[in-house]
Amino acid sequence: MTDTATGAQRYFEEVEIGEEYIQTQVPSRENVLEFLSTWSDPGDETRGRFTDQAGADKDGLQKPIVPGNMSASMITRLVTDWAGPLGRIVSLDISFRRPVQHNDQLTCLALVTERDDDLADAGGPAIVSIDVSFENERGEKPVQGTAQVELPRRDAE
Amino acid sequence: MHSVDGSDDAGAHVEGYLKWISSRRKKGFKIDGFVLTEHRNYDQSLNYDELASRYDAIVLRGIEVETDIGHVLVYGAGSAFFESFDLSDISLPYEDVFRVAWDSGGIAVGAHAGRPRIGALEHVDERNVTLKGVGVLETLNGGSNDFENARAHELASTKNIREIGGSDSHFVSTLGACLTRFEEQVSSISELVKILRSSSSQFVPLKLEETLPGADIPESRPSSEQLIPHTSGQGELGGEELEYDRSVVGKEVFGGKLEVTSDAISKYCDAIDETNPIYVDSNFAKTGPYAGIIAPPGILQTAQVGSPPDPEVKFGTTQFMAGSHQEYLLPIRPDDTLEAYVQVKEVYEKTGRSGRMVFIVRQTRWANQFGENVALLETSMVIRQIQ
Repeated sequence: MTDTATGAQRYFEEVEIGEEYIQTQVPSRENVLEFLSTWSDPGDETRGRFTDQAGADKDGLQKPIVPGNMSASMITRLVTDWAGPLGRIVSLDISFRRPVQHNDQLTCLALVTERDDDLADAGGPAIVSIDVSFENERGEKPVQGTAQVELPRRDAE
Repeated sequence: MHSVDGSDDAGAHVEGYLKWISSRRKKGFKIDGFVLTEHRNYDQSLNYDELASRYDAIVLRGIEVETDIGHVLVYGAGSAFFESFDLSDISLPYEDVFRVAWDSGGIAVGAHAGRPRIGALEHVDERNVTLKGVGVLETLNGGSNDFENARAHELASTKNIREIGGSDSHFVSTLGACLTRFEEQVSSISELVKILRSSSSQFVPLKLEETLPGADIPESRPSSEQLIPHTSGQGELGGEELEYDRSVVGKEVFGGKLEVTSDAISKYCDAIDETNPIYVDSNFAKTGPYAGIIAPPGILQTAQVGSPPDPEVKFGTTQFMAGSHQEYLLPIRPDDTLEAYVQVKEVYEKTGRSGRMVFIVRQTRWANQFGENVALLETSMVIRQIQ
């Protein structure tokens, strides 16, 4: 599903506003079925939209779609990949603006928008804000969001 | 011309936007300022002049209201406007909105004109709406795709309506994606309104990359015929008062337990191709801050919990996930036993590209076996009417 492995460890002092981290994800039907197997009851009638065309048709969708909680998990992974193993998600807000369809070629972007130097200088946690988004091959951004991430500091090493 | 602050469904705040402008300027882009247009909300006590001046930028304020031809941006309207309308109404009569905005000293602008349902175009196409009193449309919108913007531009050209661009930004990094260039100075809402109302003033929509030194605004952009159409109009607008059980909102109940096992963590990591060693490599994790593997925060997305009391919303035929707010407070470890406490936090409605939509916001508070809260997850489900 993804063409990149976890990013290197990122440190607060080295992060710059405007810095981008990009990975590609292509959620296939097999990925969706595997994800559904972690939580969904196979007898659940509402899961058809996630697995087959007939189910999608029933809900007025052009194609089967990726479950919202799977998109959320993919965003979560984008953020933790960006942050590196010692980073920690403090909060995450995600907006699902259009459906993510099976086999969409998703360009997943994490983009630094703020580094809270004042808080860090005052002895608080080292917090960075990032915008996150998926962009499909049709130029649409079906999922967008923001995350606050606590990063390790170089001077704490 | 069109951006949203941290209320409603926006993830951005004014100072974040201003810092973003500073960072874009360093890269050569030109953004002088922006107009905040909160959805259905205008707090007259707010003033960002001092904050804006610290960043050498201009922050103006307007409002975005919902009408029977989609969303409409209103700039500089006087008190008569706010006294005339119930801004929570999602189907205000557009002719009245444009007329009263003008008569009270402001101006109304049709937002994201090419977007299904929430833009004017589809209403013109399907119901022969005349767009009486509409002098300006937003035809280059950062939240619309190129096809939708092309159709909006074609509508404006056909009807000889003037055009602006707006980022429709709900997130910091999308501010300025689309803008409007004015030939005259704009430093206050009254100057902005004066320019938009004047038939002789000059302004043009453009994209952020077209503000770079040496870049040009193209004389024409690809037409809708040259672009791949993407729209997914579904459902119908509805106007009746929403019926639901208000007594259940805010009532937290026990929703069940989750045993976090190493197997469950491993299975989740496999499903999303997780490779972060703090979740999958016990040797690495032993040397890390948690002295062992922890669960990826996303694992809580897959936990099945009992439902909170049902508000029994009398609307719609299908529902989808619309948004999620997540706060992670403590690490989740293998062998933790988590308890879920669930509630319906809010029920509200809006109009979107699919027509009327009702949102139910459910919260799950996760606590570990020590009684410590480890996470708060809110999920917004949108209910729609599919024909």
